[in-house]
Amino acid sequence: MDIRTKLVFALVAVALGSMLTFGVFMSRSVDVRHGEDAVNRLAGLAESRKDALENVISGWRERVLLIASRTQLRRSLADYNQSRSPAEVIRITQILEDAIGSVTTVASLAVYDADGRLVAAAGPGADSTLANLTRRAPADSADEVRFQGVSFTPDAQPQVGYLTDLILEDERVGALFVLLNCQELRDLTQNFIGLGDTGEVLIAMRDEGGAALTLHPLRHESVGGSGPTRLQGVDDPLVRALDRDEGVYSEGVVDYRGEPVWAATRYLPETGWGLVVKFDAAEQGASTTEFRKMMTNLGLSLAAFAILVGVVLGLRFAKPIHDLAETANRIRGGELDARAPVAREDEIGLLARTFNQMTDELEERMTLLNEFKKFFDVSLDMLCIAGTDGYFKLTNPAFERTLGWGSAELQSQPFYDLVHPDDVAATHHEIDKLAQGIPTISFVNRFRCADGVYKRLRWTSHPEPETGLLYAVAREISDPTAS
Amino acid sequence: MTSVLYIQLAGGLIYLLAGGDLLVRGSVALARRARVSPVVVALTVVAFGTSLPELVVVLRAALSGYPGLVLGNVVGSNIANVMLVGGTAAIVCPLTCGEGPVRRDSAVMTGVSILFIVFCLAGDLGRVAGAGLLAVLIFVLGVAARNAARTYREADFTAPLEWVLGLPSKAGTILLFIVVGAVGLPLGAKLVVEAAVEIAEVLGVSNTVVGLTILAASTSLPELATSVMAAVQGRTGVAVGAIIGSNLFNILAIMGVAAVVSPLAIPVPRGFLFLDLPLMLGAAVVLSVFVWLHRPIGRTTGVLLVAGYAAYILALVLGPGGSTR
Repeated sequence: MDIRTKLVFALVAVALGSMLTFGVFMSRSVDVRHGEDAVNRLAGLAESRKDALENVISGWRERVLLIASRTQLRRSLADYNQSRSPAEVIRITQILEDAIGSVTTVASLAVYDADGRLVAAAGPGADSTLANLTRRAPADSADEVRFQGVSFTPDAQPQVGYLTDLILEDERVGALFVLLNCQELRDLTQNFIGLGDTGEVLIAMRDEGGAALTLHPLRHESVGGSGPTRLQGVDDPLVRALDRDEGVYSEGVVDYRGEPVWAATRYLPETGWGLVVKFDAAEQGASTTEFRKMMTNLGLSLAAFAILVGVVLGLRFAKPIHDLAETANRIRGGELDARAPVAREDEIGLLARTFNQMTDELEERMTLLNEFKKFFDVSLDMLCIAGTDGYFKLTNPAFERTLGWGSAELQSQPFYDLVHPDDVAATHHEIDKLAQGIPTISFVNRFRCADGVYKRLRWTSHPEPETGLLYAVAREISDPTAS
Repeated sequence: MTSVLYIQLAGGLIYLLAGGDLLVRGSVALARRARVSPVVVALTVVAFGTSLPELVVVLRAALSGYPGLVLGNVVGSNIANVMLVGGTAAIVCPLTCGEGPVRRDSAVMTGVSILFIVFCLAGDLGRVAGAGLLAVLIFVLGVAARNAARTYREADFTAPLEWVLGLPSKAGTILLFIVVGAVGLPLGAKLVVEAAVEIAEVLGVSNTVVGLTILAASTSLPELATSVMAAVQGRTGVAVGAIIGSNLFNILAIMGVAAVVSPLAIPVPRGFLFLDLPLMLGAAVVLSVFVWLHRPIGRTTGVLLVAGYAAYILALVLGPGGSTR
């Protein structure tokens, strides 16, 4: 693997490793935060729906008070209490019918005298409804306006009943029963904004048997149709809400469909109703999964850019080193004029410049060496380097021309073997002197040629006692008398 | 969140290109170690390798049930290859064309385009059509192998691979290249396909339109880069050959494999028969005419091609056909 690949892989691995670590930590904290968010969202939704429901309820009370506050009504009732006159009944009925016309959502009204006997009624079935209402608030409650319960119209629309005392000049002259249509409950529960695909708001009361009865259609049950539904299965969050248990539940609760849900519960003490905001655990899980998938894809995509940057940087950093290595390779291959690019100010630039200087010197020395080599090769004199151990180390071509031996043959045997037997002793003596550092100015012996003929050679030699090497020049003496 | 999708698309492309490159280098090195004939390597690993990103994207789309992406990508890629890549390269430097094998290949490309349109006219592209395309591919490769064996020079194929990272030589490195490439390719395909599908959803257009435009243009980006680089360096003969090779491969190999593996036959929307397929054939014919007449593709033609491509994309995005595809 060359340095570029190594560096690229290392950079990419580091980038990916750090992104992966970051991703794992992020993923964990995202899960936690996402769960917390959902819980907070549920709690917030439950709180705001409870506020809205309380506003609706206080609106109902205000409407009851508005009707009860009519002086005409109270005065007429006081008159009736005394006179028992049918004319007063007609007048009271008139006032009640007028109230139904002028106060919104009032379905029917009934007025009772101080003894609790029905005096007059307007609207469908007011009196009978009061009798049938499940009484939730005690009749002698100190409350000015007392919640009486919920009834249902023949087409299953819920109505709430309120009872209030009619008081004239600090004297109780009778009571007013008001039955209100509660369209508001439907508005409050059938708006699924912010509840996703499965979420819903439930408002429910307990029926006579103690089972939960919703006051509006359900989102998930077509069986329930358009009206209130008596829940067949047990709805955990609703049971908790009706038990006055307010909280947020993210595990272990199932709704009326048997579906695990996340739910927030609230209790309305005045009416005894429970309020639940919930959505399916599966949807919450799916949104977490969806979010995590998006984050994973984003993370992977960003990692791709990290890889790209890693590759570009790795190649950029490694390129000069790679170039240097290539240059070195070329020089090794004999291209002495190859030079590394030096256009950098960093360590690599320094390395390249130093490398180039060294190459310059090398080239200079190689030139010099080549000149000496030529000198050595073309010399007519025999030039050699020999050892005091009796072996030639280096011989020039003049040896072969003169003696006929190739340099390999000369170097593979002790030169004493080539010296004429009569001259061996003198040659030994001369070598011993050289070994002691005494130069040879002129020494003559006879060397055997490849063809067996002996030639006389005159030697000049300079020793180097430290290395045991002799630098010697020899020349053939063609005139035998010249010795 | 649309920007996230485009980041995902770009990121996926990087995985595809890097993965494809590493896998090709690893495979070439492996084949070299196993002493497989270099001609075989050049015709299989190197030829298929450069189209690997498109192949895995289309496979992923076919297997995940987005056949619109498949057809859109193949046809869109062929249109983009000639008009966008060829046009841009010709603007940079007029393209010479008309060398021997290129002339034959251009005729084959036109023929294959007509064959493909005939398949489309016959109805949805099922396993039979896919097998037919693959059979033609094997025949074309066989002929190419015979010719390549005569004129083959290894350096032509491996020289581009020596560039930048070089070929690995140690067994460990080869394995690393192959493994990383084999992981990167499907990962990139997954990211690209998911991003393309979601972009289609966000823009309110069909998968086919996204396949024809965004996906086709982005998978043609590497070809655009190499062709323009070649044109800048004056190697003008390379671009036309590369475009023709890529178009042939798109229809025969990519469409063929996708039609064979796709669980459902790939439907051909009506709009395709009136705009996209005729344009694809037209582009192939125009290119072939230049090749046969030995006419260089000049700057004017280049500008016309690129302008035509821009008009085509606009027509797709804005036109009434955008929603019917």
